[in-house]
Amino acid sequence: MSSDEEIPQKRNINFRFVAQIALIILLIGIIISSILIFVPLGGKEYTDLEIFTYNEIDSIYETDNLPTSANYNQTAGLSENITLYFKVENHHRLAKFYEVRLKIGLYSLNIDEETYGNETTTYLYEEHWKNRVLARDQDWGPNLQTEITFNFNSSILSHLGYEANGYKIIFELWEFSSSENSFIYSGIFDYLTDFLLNLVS
Amino acid sequence: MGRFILIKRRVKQKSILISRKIILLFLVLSVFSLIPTFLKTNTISGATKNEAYEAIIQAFIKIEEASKESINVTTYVSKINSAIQDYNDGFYTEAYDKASEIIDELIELIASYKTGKLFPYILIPINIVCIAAIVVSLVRNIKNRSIKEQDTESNDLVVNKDVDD
Repeated sequence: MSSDEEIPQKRNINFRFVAQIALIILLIGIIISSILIFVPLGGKEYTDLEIFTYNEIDSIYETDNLPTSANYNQTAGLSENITLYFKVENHHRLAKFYEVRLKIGLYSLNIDEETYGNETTTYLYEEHWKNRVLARDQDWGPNLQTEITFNFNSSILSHLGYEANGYKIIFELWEFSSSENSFIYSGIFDYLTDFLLNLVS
Repeated sequence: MGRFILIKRRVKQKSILISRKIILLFLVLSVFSLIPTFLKTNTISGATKNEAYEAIIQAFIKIEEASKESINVTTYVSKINSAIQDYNDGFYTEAYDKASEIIDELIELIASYKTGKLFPYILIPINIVCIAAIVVSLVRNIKNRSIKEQDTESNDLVVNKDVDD
């Protein structure tokens, strides 16, 4: 029996090969980490605005069954109260300062991402404007804080005129711009259209 | 005996002087320590509507800046909302005070976070050096291997030539 046969052969580990693989992994890791430092993670950034009504029977806020009409007492010059709630969701990376503006316009009024209700086309219901700062992924409402109870009064009718086809109750979302140092229209809106006003005496 | 009393009195006077100096120093220090607190609590009695509004806006700008730095601003957001509520209810002084507190606290917090922001910029040259070192070592390895292979090939050729001869 030779001495070579007695000693079991040692398994040769190719250290250089292992080191090269480790270096390649390290290289990939460094490149990925460098990219991650400057490219923020996270998906699409957006804000959401929704109008709700309160279902007293089930004690829930719902987007269905929103009011479609209100009685307007011509003698008193006032309509019955209309109560609506809104919800704002901030899905931006940064904190945002929002203002929800209630405006009333004629049913034919065009509101889109760029066009908002101005003083001539809408009645600016300023006493019902609400503002709040929301942190990242924070919601605001629907709750008592976002409750808006308003009515149609003689000044609205004298400003817009009576429209048998109805009105638009518009909720616009404005946000504070640090560069402009004022609130700017975010292009986000929600409205009740064809809201009828039944004249009663 | 008389001399002893004199020395005792001198020692007593000296100790009184020292204690007076200590009290004076303490008073001076306490006054100085109160200055930053006074400056920090930038409260005014009877802020106007405009002052309160401006303070809220400035506080929001600071919150926005802080959230850009990835600072958790939830506490400050609830505080500013309370200030906004005070403003809407006509409590302008309270709104102003709350907004000023937010501004002061966030100025300090942002400054401390900004030093942490330097980290990526420190990391980048290190990363570049690491990448360069890895690439150089890999290239050198490949080069060495190819030289070695060429040498063994040429050696084999020489051996084969010798065998043929």
